[in-house]
Amino acid sequence: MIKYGIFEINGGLRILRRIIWTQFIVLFALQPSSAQFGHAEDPGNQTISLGVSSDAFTGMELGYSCNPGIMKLRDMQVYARVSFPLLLTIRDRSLDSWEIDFGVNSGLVGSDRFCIIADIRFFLLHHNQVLGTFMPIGIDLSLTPAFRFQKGYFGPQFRWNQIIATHISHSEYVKNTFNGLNITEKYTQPQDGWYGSTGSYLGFGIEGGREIGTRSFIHADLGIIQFTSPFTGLIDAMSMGQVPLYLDLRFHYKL
Amino acid sequence: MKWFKQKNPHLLFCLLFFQCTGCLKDPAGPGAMVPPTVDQISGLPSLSIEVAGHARMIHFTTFGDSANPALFLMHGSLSDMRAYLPLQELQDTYFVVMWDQRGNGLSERVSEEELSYEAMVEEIQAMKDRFSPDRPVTLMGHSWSAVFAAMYLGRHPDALEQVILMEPFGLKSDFMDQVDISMNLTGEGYLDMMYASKYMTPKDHEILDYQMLAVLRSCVRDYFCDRDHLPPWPVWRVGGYALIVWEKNLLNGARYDYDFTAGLASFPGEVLLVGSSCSPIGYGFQQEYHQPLFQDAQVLKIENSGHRIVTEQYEALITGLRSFLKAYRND
Repeated sequence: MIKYGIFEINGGLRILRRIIWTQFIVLFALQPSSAQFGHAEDPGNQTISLGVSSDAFTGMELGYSCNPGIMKLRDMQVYARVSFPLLLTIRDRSLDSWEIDFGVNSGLVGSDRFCIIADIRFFLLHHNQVLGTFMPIGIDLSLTPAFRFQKGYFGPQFRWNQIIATHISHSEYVKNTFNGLNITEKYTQPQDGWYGSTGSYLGFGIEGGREIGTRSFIHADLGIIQFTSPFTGLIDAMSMGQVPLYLDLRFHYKL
Repeated sequence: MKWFKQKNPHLLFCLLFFQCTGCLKDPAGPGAMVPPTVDQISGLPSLSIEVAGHARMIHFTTFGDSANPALFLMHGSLSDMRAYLPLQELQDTYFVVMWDQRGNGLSERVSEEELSYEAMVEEIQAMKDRFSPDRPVTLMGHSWSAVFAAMYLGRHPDALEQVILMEPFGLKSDFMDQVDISMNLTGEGYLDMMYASKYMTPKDHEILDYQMLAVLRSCVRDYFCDRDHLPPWPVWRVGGYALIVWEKNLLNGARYDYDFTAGLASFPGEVLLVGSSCSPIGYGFQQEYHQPLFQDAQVLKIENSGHRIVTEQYEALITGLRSFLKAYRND
């Protein structure tokens, strides 16, 4: 049995929402109107990035991005990233768990003070675990109506993550769950292959970024995950590893 | 084809996309990721019982002569009867009845209100009405089922001959407040489950039960002697949603708030509490908190064992059971 001595999820959400909106309003009131977007403005601009995330507590990533210089979309970046869960990799002593992302990030409806940042990302993931080997393909969309200030931006983030398909090769442990049942041949083994839509979630949080010097930019996403499932809540989320929070922190360096 | 690609590249992409998605397997398809339940296929031994106003199919099996006194054996949470099948050897003297509880194993999945504690007690009564309507039964429960067996004992003392409770958790919240059970969140098993949450959301019973298989191998809750070498626990299918509902109902906010001890002191029959040496709710816990709740209770200590007593120290368990069960004694 588990003892929970921390806040209830509903109360925590209410508090977090109030914090987010209070900060947004205060920043808006205090910041000057002269605004810049930071890292993405120059066509041909290339950056590398190093990041950490909350994936299995210690996700690490390496990325590359460039501004393709498409006319009128000067704030656009195309990027590729590779990431892996550091602590799990160390525990596992193997590189069986990794993710590759390809995406586009762009600031839309630009003005001196406001913009909308849209990010669309396709990902391929590989994970070898006790249940088998999994290769999901998915898409992640986020939208941030951001307030632009002197050296960066900040705003609430809305995120949708959808697994399109997952290839599953079940382990012997799972196959053994079908043994000893005298049922028809159709159900003698779990089915390996491509499965549709094994997961999705919605994210609500905050996104921000700030220039550091002339060649660096730091970017952060922080939020709450709402898994699209009738079976999840704080108890089962914790016991099954579905921690309902996300955090991404990235440091970009202009080449 | 060339003309088609030239004139309609987007349409071709859409057609290919939808054709491919039509080939994708459905995670909720019966038998795709976890074995189907008895209401999804035929061929498995099943019967219908009415509990909480609903008739539900359950997966069951019996061993021995039905003329013998009945021994009901109930599995614990995140389990089914598979690991307990070796106990069928008690059929030499008893009519052994095992079943997957509603919402668990290969029995039909049910709604939240059908998984109430009262409904679980009602389920035991329904099985008694089916297999031993005129005679008291010997009831054995493990872990969560030991709690249900205790609840049944409190409500139906006349229905029971003897009761065996294998490591029930605290039958009162006050007892559980004394137990230090922390979750192992940095172990490989939990980290794997956390990483898997990026692509797997338990949106139906099939995916939930599938994911819960990983919990059995994760050592997130340390009830073991050796967390690096977990004892085997064979299952066909676990009942993930049932565990979620049962555990959620123990809590009031973030604290335990329950009392299952009503009626226990009035049971005149014999009770055997079984406790392991390694589990936080093992021998010492059972002796200190549960033994005083009954008129006539003894505690069987299983050495070198954690919570999965049946697979860890089977011989010690069966020896202790045979010493306790009336049909084996020359009383």
